[in-house]
Amino acid sequence: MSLLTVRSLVKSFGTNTVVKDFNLTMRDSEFISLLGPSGCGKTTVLRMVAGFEKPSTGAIEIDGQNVTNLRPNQRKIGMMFQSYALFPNLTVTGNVAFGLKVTGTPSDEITRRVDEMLSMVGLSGFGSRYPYQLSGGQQQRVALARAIAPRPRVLLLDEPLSALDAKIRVALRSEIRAIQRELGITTLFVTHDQEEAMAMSDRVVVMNGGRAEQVGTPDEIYNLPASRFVAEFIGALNLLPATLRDPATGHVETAIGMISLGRTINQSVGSAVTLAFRPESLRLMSLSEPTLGQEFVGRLVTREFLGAIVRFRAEVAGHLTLGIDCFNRAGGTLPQVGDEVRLGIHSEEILLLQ
Amino acid sequence: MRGRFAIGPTLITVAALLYFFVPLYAAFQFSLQMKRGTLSFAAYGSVFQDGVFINAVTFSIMASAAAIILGAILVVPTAYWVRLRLPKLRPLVEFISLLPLIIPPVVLVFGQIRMFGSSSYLPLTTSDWGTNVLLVIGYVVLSMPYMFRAVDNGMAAIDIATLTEAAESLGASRFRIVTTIIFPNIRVAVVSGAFLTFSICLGEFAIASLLNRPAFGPYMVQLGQDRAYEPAALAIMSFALTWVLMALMQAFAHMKPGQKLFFRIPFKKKSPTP
Ligand SMILES: Nc1ncnc2c1ncn2[C@@H]1O[C@H](COP(=O)(O)OP(=O)(O)OP(=O)(O)O)[C@@H](O)[C@H]1O
Ligand SMILES: [Mg+2]
Repeated sequence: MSLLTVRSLVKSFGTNTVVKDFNLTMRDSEFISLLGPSGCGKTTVLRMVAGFEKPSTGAIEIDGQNVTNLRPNQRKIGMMFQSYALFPNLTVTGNVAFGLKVTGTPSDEITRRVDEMLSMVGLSGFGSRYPYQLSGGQQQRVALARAIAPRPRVLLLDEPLSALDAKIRVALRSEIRAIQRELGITTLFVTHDQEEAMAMSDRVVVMNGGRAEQVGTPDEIYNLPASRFVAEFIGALNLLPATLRDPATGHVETAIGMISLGRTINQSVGSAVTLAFRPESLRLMSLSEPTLGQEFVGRLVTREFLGAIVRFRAEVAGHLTLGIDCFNRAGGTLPQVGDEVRLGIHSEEILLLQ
Repeated sequence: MRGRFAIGPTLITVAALLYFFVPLYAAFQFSLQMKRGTLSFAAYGSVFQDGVFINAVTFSIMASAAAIILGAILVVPTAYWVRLRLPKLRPLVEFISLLPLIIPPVVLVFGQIRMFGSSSYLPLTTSDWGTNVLLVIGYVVLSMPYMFRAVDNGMAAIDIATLTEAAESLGASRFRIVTTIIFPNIRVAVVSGAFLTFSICLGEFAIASLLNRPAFGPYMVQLGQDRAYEPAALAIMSFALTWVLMALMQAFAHMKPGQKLFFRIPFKKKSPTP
């Protein structure tokens, strides 16, 4: 069952088209993130779903109902803002009860529901405080309780965590996700933090220049990027220009020698392609290890210690540098800057970008 | 420079204080001299014993209260809508709100009398009730520069766009948003606008006099012509009232949500008898 459907959405401000043919189908209880660089139109899409912006063309359906022309207060949505947007004149209880009062819920039912919501976000006993008496993290929890109290059909969140400090951000994101799962609320989440999107979402929509470049699960987005933009935007990536020599066997020629991709490539001989692989796919090999398939030598030029991971950069073929991520295992010895090293990679971990 | 006695600024300060307090003190002393040879509050007593005074004050307080309510009802939604949806019109609206400072009240009241005089389509001036309405409307216009400014500044201090969106996403109508979210959050601004309105209306002479209303302004002028000591007493009392209003404004301005300005006298809860 699809709960939210967005069809061919286009939005222009004057002559500037900021959302172009955007499509999305969300299943019931699904958590989807809109991820993309600043200015790619994430907020604009979310605001159109909420009803704060009118689409230039296209349609939005919630639960089978066309809401494109409904005002925001008729859409039964919940929304969380980066700036919390709690009502400063109301107590925590007043804030959470606001949406319930609007719908004319009986007062004993409101009391019960507010208590339930506050205990869900871990703020029981804070009901009589005012927003200015709460920390940022607590305010955002109240905002969550307020948004979900009237049982919205869709929950919309626009970078609700970006104003918080790193520790609270990570704690709150798993809480939001847990509550979302428990209540089964269909949720659309906007972020420009890829780790946040990967960690929280059922599916991620990677946006670029107003378009959805790829829609997929976090693994699909990371391991099988559909476009060069997605591959470069998500995670770190090594790029290696190459020329196709044999489409049937997937042999390509690069500055570090011939590489066999071991699969058929649907392009003509001699066409220019780009090979891409993640720093963690590249292995530092000891002399005794058997080959992984593809192999070349390089010289380490930098070494960054990041705790769990050690990140090297190696120079290959005299002018190219490649990133290599290694786990930092206790007892293992890792090479030093200046060492000549043997690098290996499985050919199936090499992506081909057009 | 630090530690040295700054003679210039001190002289200026002293001169300013003298300029302000010497006439005030003179008026105060004069107001106490109604009884020959002794200082007494007789002039004050005489003012309060005058039934016309009480009537004038009551009338003016009622008229100002009406002007405050009407002004707030007009200004709050207007300022809200202009800020939210028509930000380009703000300079124009601001300019219009300042017009009463440029156009003399006499012009305003003549306009009113011409528009709503006995031979007009809507002859408001022919009844007391109608004339009172004109007076209140005149007060609203006079206080517009202060009311609009106060309210508009109050709205600048809160993020009305996001608060409006938050309330809308929760299903609230425009009316509910203005009355339960916007208004309470700019209450301090409205109150300070109200105090300014009140002090303007209380002393206003031209409109009340030309509409022939029994307001405090015309009363004070009349008293100044008829008596010697009582006007001084009135002037001192007006000053005192203004100061009290200023103090209240400050207290309101620094109030946090949920704080009460005055302590409530706690009622003892009756414990249930076993
Ligand atoms: N009301 C508006 N009028 C004109 N242009 C607008 C308006 N709102 C957004 N834009 C433009 O639309 C583009 C997309 O904006 P949007 O806020 O959707 O980006 P975003 O993906 O949310 O970026 P960020 O990560 O920085 O929040 C931007 O170029 C912005 O300047
Ligand atoms: Mg944004």
